[in-house]
Amino acid sequence: MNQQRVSNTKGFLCMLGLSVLLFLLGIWAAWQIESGGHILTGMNNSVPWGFSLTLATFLLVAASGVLNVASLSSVFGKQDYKPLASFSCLLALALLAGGLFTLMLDLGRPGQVFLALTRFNWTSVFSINIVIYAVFFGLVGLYLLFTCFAPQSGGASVLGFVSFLWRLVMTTGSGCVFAVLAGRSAMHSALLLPLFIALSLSLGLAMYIISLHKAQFAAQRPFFATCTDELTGRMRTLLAVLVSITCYMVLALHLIGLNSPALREFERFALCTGGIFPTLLWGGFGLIGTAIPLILLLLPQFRACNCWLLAAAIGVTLGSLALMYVLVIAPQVYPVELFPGKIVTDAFYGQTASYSATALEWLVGLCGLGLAGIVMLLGIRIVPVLPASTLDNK
Amino acid sequence: MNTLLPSLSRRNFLRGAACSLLFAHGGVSGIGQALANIAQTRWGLVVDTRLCSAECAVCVNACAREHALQSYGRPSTDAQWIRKVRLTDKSTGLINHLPVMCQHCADAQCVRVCPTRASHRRADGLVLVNHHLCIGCRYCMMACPYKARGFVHEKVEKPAAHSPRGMGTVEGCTLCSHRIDAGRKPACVEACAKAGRGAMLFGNLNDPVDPIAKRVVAFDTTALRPELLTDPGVRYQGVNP
Repeated sequence: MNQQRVSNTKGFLCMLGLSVLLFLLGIWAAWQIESGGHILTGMNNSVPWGFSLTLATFLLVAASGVLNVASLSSVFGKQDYKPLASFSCLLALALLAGGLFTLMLDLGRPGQVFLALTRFNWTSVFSINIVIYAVFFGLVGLYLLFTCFAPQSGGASVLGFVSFLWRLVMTTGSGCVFAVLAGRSAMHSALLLPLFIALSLSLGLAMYIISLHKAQFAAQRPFFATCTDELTGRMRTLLAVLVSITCYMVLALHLIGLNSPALREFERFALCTGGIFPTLLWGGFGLIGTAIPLILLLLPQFRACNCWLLAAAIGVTLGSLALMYVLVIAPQVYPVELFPGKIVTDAFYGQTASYSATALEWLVGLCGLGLAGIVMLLGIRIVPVLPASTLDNK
Repeated sequence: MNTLLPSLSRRNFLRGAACSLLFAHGGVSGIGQALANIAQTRWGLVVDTRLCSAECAVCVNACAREHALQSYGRPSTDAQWIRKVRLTDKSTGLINHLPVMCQHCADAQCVRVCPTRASHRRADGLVLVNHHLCIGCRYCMMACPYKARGFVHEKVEKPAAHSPRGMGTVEGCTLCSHRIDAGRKPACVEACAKAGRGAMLFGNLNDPVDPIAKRVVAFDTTALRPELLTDPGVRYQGVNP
């Protein structure tokens, strides 16, 4: 198998420059918030977690999902995917680093983050997740080395299998951050965990496709030069299946909510009356993230050109971000029912809270994406993760 | 040995040892007794909503004064540890007014989720935040079923000496732990009594002869969101028709 490094092409430098710019802008924004306070964000005492945390969670879920390709080769024995496994590992590490960095910048006191590493609270999902993320870094890092330098060894298969199990643990941990919150009825659902896993699978594959295109652009090679038509065909089918599963999980979550008297009002809010949330759910996730990608992936007339696969992947990514926004923000905005059977007349408790992300929050969120881009681009420059051609494997 | 302790005779040594043993025994048993007392204490509040009116906000104002909480005219981000709430019963139309603050739960969700153990529960039942350990992740705010925690969104000017606050950390009602430690009542309870309302009763919920414990036993007091079984230390009287 012939793996390649990327040289300093114009495309590579252009992508790296863009990533560094995003990263630096994010650092600047975080500094502004650190010195001026969170008053510079749209967050408030009703909505303590805003867009930055949504993007951080989005990246963490995607980090687990991009390992799909590596898992397909080492766990499920799909040899076509083997040359793409190293890039899958690198991307997982890059996205995890980006997500965790954004999470850190979003803290009220990012400078004190070491306290979270030294004072574990084993009843806290946050603390447990720190361990899960650290193990993921170690496992996938080792797996990357094996896939690059000893792909045929038994170690690669063992690490592939363990990483596959661990990514499920990691996505479950990310989902648990929200699902364990008994006080937030709209989040407190066991269904959130399989939904997060399904979302990570579809979003991960979509982001893998986009990143592969980005890497090809950096290497100044044609789009999908590394993929055979057969392989892109399989990716289409797989992405369509995963998008359908995610859609099914979202439907199940809302159907159960609609049939629960305690959650019916919230469902009405999220699906119909909640302003931006129904728009994001129906338009963002339903239309852009599910319906259009499924059309692009399944109809034969869109199979001729790989650009439709890329378009579908972009749609799935944007739709997943919209869904994540609804899952994280809507339950915070919706009023808490302090006394069941009573109407609370108070701006803080009784009314829908307002939240809109400021430009600084966007920059902090995108900082993680910038860091993921830097890690990915430096990775493909230093480590031979991109296959010269998948045909080499045959 | 002699060079290190030149003046220590056998008699003096034995006398000193005896004194030390006596002191240690008395000290340890004294500390033990004090700890046992604390463990038996659970500070709490009962709010008689029938005595709480719409126009009165003395508890809110007293809290702000006591802890030097500034208002910038931005209600969604301003520090406010007590909020007055109006409840209307959907079926009977009964209206209640009541203050909502940290409920000092026995099974505090904020303590459970805090990654640095900055949120902690004292032996006497008070749920507090150690601002030195708080990293500002706001997970406790998400976990609190009563939205009783607040985040310090802006720089704190002139904080009260007994009430440390810091930008980027989470805070909430301490039930005036500094006053309780000095044998006084929380500022809101004191202000409510001074205003002639007497709607707030403070005391030890675990002491059967304490008036608060008697009232909890004698009357049908309600906890906020009782279905969550967090066992709040703040109870409300007169909410149910």
